[in-house]
Parts: sequence; C-alpha cells; structure tokens
Amino acid sequence: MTTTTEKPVPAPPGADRPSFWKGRSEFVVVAVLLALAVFLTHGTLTMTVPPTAASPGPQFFPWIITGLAYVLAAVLTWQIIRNPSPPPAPPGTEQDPEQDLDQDLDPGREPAADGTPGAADRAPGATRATAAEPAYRTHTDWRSVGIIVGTFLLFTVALEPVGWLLSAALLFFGVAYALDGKRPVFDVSLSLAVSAVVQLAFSAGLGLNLPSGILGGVL
Amino acid sequence: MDQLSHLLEGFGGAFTPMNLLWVVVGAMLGTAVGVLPGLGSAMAVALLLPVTFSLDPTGAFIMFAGVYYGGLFGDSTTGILLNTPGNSSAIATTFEGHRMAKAGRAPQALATSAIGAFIGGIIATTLVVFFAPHLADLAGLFGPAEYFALAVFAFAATATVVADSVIKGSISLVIGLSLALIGIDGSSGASRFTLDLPPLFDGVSIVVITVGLLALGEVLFVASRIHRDPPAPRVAFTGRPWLSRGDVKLAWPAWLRGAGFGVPFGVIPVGGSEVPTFLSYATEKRLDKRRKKRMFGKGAIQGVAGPEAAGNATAGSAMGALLALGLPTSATAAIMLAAFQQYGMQPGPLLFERNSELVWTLLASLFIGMIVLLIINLPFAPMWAKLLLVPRHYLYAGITVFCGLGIYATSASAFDLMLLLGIGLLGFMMRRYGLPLAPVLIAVILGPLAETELRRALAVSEGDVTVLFDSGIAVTLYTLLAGAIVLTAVNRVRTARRRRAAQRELVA
Repeated sequence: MTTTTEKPVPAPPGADRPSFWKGRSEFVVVAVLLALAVFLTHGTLTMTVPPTAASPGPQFFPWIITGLAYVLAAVLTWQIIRNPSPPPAPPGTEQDPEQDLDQDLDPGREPAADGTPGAADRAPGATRATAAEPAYRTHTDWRSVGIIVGTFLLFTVALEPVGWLLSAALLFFGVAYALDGKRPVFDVSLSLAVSAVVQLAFSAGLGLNLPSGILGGVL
Repeated sequence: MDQLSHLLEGFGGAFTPMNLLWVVVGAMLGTAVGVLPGLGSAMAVALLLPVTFSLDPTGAFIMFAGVYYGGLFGDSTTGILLNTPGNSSAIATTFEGHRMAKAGRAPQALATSAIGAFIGGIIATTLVVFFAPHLADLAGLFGPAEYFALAVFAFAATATVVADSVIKGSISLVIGLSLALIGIDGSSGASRFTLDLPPLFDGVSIVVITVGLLALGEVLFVASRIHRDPPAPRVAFTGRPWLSRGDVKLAWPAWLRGAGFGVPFGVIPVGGSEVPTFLSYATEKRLDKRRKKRMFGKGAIQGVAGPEAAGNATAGSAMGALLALGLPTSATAAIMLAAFQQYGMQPGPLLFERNSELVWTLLASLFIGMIVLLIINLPFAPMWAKLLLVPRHYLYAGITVFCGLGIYATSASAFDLMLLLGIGLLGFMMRRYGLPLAPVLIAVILGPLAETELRRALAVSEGDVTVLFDSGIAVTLYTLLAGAIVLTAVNRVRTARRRRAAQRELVA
C-alpha cells in the first residue's frame, strides 16, 4: 500500500481476463481479519499474566474475540466464494450518497424496509453506474492513494527533526498534488502559507508548541 | 424545582463575555467542520480538542457545547446541497433534502433542517436538565451483569440493525474490540498486545481512532476514486430561507415526531443517531402515503424536518447519558468523555455533586449554543455553503494537515501519527469493501466496559455464567435485542424476496 509508483499499479492477477479472482478482491478483508486473529492468538498465548490476576484473567476476553475473528473470516470467505461482488461495485460507505440512497430504498436498512416501489426504479441506474466502470484497470486509483500515504509517512518522519512549517507544507502540497492539483507554484506557496498560519495561530494564539525544527533559529 | 435554580445559576456562569465568545467560536468552528464533506460532529470535537487545551475547564466545555451541536447543524447542509451527507446522521435528511434543493427549494430545505435541529436539540436538552439527576439515580440499579447486557445490546444492535450486512457489521465490531484490547489490562496489570512498545501501554487513543477512521480514511477513499467518479453536481442556491405557512404546517408535526424518536435513542448506545433518523424518515414516508398529494420523492419537507429533529434530539439526550451515567453512546460523546478525563473529571452519577457548577454552566451553554447556531445557520446558510466552493484538492489537503495537527497536538508523539496512518488505511479498506464504521467506534468505546463488567460478574459468581441472566434489567435487554434481531431478519428476507420479484418483472 505504501508504493508510490508512477503508473497505476498493475491490476491484481487476472484483471483482464475473468478469473477466479475477478470481483473477489474482498479477500483482502479476509486476509486482514485472519492476520488479526493470528496476532491475537499469538499475543494471548504469550501474554505474561501476573500471578495475582483474578479468575477470569486478562486472557479470557481476548480468547472470545479471537474465536469470533476466525469464525467471521470463515463466513466471509464462504460468502465471497458464493457471490463475488459485481465488478467494482461502488463501496457502501456512509459518505457515498448514491449507495446509501440505494440502501435506503433497497433491502438492508431495516427502518426503510417498507417495500418502496423505488427499489426497482433505481436498479437500472445503479447497474449503469457500474457498467461504466471497467474503463479502469483497478477500482482504486493506487497512484493517488500511494502519494498520500507516502507523503503522510514523510510528514511523520520529518515533523520532529525538520519542523512543522516545512513538513506540514509538504503534507498539504502532497495531498493537493495527489488530488489533481494543477498549479505547482501556487500550490507550494499556499502550502507554506497554510502551515505558517497554523503554526502562528497555535504557538502565538493558543500557546501550543509545534516543533520548529531546523528553522528554529530563524523564526 | 431544584433544577431550575441550578440552571439559572448555570446561565449566570455562562453569560460572561468571555464564555459567550467561546460559545460563538465553538459554534462557528463546529458548523465549519460539519459543513465539510465527510466530517461530522465527532470529527469537529476530535480536531478541536487540542484547541481547547489552553482554556480553563469551564471555557473549554462551553466551547465544546458549541462545537458539538455546530457539527450537527452543519452536516445536513452538505447533504442538501451536494447530496453528500457530512455524517451518517445526515443521510436520512439528504434523501428528501437534496430533492428539495433540485426542485429549487434549497433555502427552504436548509431552513427546515436548521429549525428541526434547533427544536430537537432544545427538547432533548430540556429533558436532560430535568431528568439527568434522576438518570443518575438509575445508574445505581446497574450492576456488572446489567452493564454487560447493555454493552452486548449496543454491540449487537450496531452490528446487525445499523449495518446493512450482519457479517460486515460483526467484522467491524471485532476490529473495534481488538483495538480496545491493546494496552495494560486495568484489573490485572498484564500488558496486552502492546508488542512491548511503551506508547501502546495506555492503549490506542479514541481520538487517533476517530480521526484515522473518519477523516484520514475519507481522504484516502476520495483519493482512490479521484479519476473514477464524476464530481457531484452542485445545486444553485438562490432565494431567501423563509418558510411559507404551508411549509410550517407540514413541518412542525414532523419536527416533534422526530424529536420523539431521537430522545430515547440518545440514552441507548446504538451508535449515535443513525437508527432514530432512519426511523423518523420511514415514519414520515409512511404518513405521507396516506395523503392525497404525496410529496415523498419530489422533495418532501417532512422528510427533512423529521430526521433532522431526531438527529439533534439524540445528540442532546446523549449528552445527558454522558453526564449522568458516564456512558458514552456515540463517538462524539466518547471524545467528550476523553476531554472530561483530561481535565481530571469523571462523568457519571457523582459529577453533579462534585462539579455541579461546571455541569450546569455546560447545560446552560448548550441552550445558548443552540440559539447562536440557529442565528448563524438560518440567515447565513448560503455563506456556509460557500465553503463547498473551495476546490476539492485544497479542502482535503487542509483536512489532512488538520488530522496531523490534531493528533500531534494532543499527544506530541510521532508514534501516534504512524498509528493514525495505519488506522486511516484501515478506514480506507473498510470504506472500499463496505464495512460500516460505526460498530468499530462503539466497540472501542464500550469494549473495555464490557470486558471489565463481564469479568467482575464472573469473578463474583466464581465462573457461574447464569449470573449474567439473573436480573430483570439484563433479561429485558436480551429479550429486546432478540426481538429486534428477529424483526430485522424477517424484514430483510421479505424485502429480498420482493426485490427478486421486482427484478423478474423488470426482465419480463
């Protein structure tokens, strides 16, 4: 996920020709869940329990959650194999209004389940939206995501040694660039202005110290 | 009428020029953050937490009062104008609100939602003033088994009722519960899942989790769709936000009904105001079907009024539950709880005795905050909508910088920033695959409570599980839960069947 490649990252195996993996990228969730379960298992097994701990000890609750994680990973696997998602279905996020609208008029949301005739009306619209998708090789624009993740990492590493002013400006510029900022010169000045205003407002106005870093002597 | 005299004293404390300034500043900042797409009142409180550090506790909480409601007033603005709800609590408002905007009635929709938010908030806060002290007495009836039942109720309700897939909801729940496990175990002192990293000994802060999941996750998700989705069409905003008499006649019963749905849900931890807003929306829709001239689907004013009042009423009574019971029923309330603890105060039954002055000033400033919000939202809604004209890439760049700022200012550690990025990626993955976010937050908030109470109950009973079902309150909660799950399942099967039938018709 942290790659900052120039071109869009190669699509997962078999994105061109329909294969088993097509529409089943959701296995990522299973992988994360399994990794979590294994981590919990290992952590619970190797936990040093103080001898004074009372009867349902510190390992009791983690075991329940670990068990749940394994079960859910299995159930989700079964579900993905049975019905792969229609190629890049718009993910159902709370912030995705169309999707939520569909959910509202569709099954899912219990309160609205009063048999809206709208469910059928909307269905064609939804399929049209998905039909326009395959023009892209991947559902996710990995280049933009990669740039943001990379910039944020850089910001984290640079913040203390380099100081707020420059690293926050870098963060602002990086995200704006990843999201199609087209005017580099203006963007750089805006980034510096934003980070300077924040630093001023916080150190002068609120008395919070942000690291000044290498510019500490100058400012 | 003990409460009234307390409240008057509270108003006395709140009506100082400095405190009034904090309410106004809080309300402005809260509305601004709320208006931004993807950020709601939980984010407003989380991002502004560091800003309040340099204030005295009373000033800080007065500002929080403004921020808290400000986020709620703002989030429906985006929903109505852009069809992108600022927060999950604004989704229900968005359906009819955006249709009203498309029909050229955007000012009326914004006014209806602002007044609805005001009415819901006022009703709930008034009830809190009169009943919070009694609510605190109620807390005495709750033992370990009852608290555990309440937590289980909250978990199951958010994972099954609120989420659209039980499996996905449960996965989110497990993720949240695991996050909550990290740190030193309070009752035994064992270090759990900390990888021996000292910064993790205190656990992962709720602020990091909220900002990571909601804000950074949203930025990454927007980035992932940057060249994929067409930008949302903007609705022109013209005219004055005045309601005609006919509008008011349609809206006021919906406002009251919405508030009626909202108030009880603030006290039950089921992930904030999603459930009551949708319940209110569905009710208004059903009532609309009885009318001769159906308005739903064409921009019904009741569809905006009801959910909006419900959302704010929930927020109001959630504040009561937080103050009186120490029980955070939403992510926003959980961050407020963290803020209280930062000032060395523990919300709960004792708060009204120990910090009586602060509590009543806070309650009084909730009223003032709402009036200020009505003033800055009703005539100036078009001005707030201008915020949406900021180019998208600068908007999200600014949000990212504020995420970094908010986390670094609260913890002063680069480690927490790394954690923030990790959780942001998690939030991105969850959005990508449609895993709901609310259950994670509820699990993180109530996970520790559930564990402590479960272990306490079992320690007393020496491992006998039946103790969990030994009290009337616990059994009632489990029964309610079972009922709700059965109802949801039946409803889901029924709609699925109907949908399949509809699809067949479509094909034929």
